[in-house]
Amino acid sequence: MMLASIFSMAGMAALFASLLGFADKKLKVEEDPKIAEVLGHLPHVNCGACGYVNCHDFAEHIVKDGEDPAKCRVMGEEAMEQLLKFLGKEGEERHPKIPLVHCAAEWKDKKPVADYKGVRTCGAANLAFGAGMECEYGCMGFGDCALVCPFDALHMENGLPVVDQKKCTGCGKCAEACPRGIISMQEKKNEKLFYVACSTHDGAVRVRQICAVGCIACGICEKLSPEGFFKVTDNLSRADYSKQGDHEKVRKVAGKCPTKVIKEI
Amino acid sequence: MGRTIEELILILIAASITNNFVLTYFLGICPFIGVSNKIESAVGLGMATTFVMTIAATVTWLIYYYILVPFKLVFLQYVAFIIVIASLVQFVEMVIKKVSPALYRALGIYLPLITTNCAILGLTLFMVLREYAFLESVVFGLGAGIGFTLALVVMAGIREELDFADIPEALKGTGITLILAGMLALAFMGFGGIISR
Repeated sequence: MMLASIFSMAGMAALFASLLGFADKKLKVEEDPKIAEVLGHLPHVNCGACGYVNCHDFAEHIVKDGEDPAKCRVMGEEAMEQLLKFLGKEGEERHPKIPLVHCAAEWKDKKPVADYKGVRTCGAANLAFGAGMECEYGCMGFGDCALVCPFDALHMENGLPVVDQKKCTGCGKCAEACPRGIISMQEKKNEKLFYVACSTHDGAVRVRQICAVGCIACGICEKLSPEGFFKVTDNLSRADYSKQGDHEKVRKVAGKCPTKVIKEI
Repeated sequence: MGRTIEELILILIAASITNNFVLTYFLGICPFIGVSNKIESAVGLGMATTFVMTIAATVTWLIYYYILVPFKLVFLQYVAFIIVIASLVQFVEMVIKKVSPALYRALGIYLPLITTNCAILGLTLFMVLREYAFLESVVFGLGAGIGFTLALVVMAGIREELDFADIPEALKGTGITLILAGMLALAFMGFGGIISR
């Protein structure tokens, strides 16, 4: 009986294996050989961290749509270099995006108008008239952004999110999580990145009353900045990153800001 | 002869409607919840599963009655049936990849997961348990497949409409789907009186 069971199972397995092998030959899908090559470089763990179903799907998008291979979080430096070499993208500078926090109000700067006793998340507090905070544009400090960060790269310090640049992968989840849209994602092309750490659209008088570190839209940065790097619209100064020039010059402009709200990273 | 055709039709209707695998036996719930968000992919998976079920019923019947029973190897039925199902699924995967890459991508992980769809193993085991003859088991497999497709497509249809409905926050997604599945099962119970089999 043992022999019979071994032979019958082995026979069945062999039969199906040969049928499948035959079918594989007949039904083979012609695929771009580059995809298989790229797939060979990928880690084959199918973790989905890149946002695609599996490594094969990711490889397909790398080859066909020029997706950034750096989205793979699992690959080591060496493997990544080899892959980039294969794609002919070596030496090309890669600019990971980093989150910029457009608010500078620490706990001491956040002026309360009411005592908020609700659920301690930004999303909930924002629905309830903004956590009893006077400024309706600024960071409420409950840290929804730090909570969603999958890489432990964002922490709340003194009521403001602080980004750990070493850990940050630029996935942008924090920017999506912020109900007030305070966090923006920006490519770090230059050595230094300057940004206005305020999101208020209130007028100068009100900003002066409620926040010591708000943008009062005085326009000094716009006047002084080279090539129109800063521009004030709707009571708020914003940087146009396509125009950033010499960072020494920009730093001087930043120093002239009366509320010191232009920060650099 | 007339009697056998009548029997076959009864088996077909019983397997697809009154004793629907998904809604009466609660087999194959995973793809039922997972792939029922669009009618198109629901039809695709339904067809694939129907194909696998029909062929699996045919092949396992042959294996059971011509290999396992004569050699007294009935205890190996689970292993043997799973081999058949796994190979069939692999084959279907190849065919779909060749014929419709879009469907292949839409089905994603649920296509290889047909292998572990308990509805299919359940089908082959029911077939043995109820001592169906060859033709009966083929029809039984076909009926079960049709029933699975039916449940999947009906569910997908409801879920597509559901996108426009105002669902309580807590029930969005899987929650409301499970409740719907329960209601659908209740509705299918209404067929129960037609045939008892």
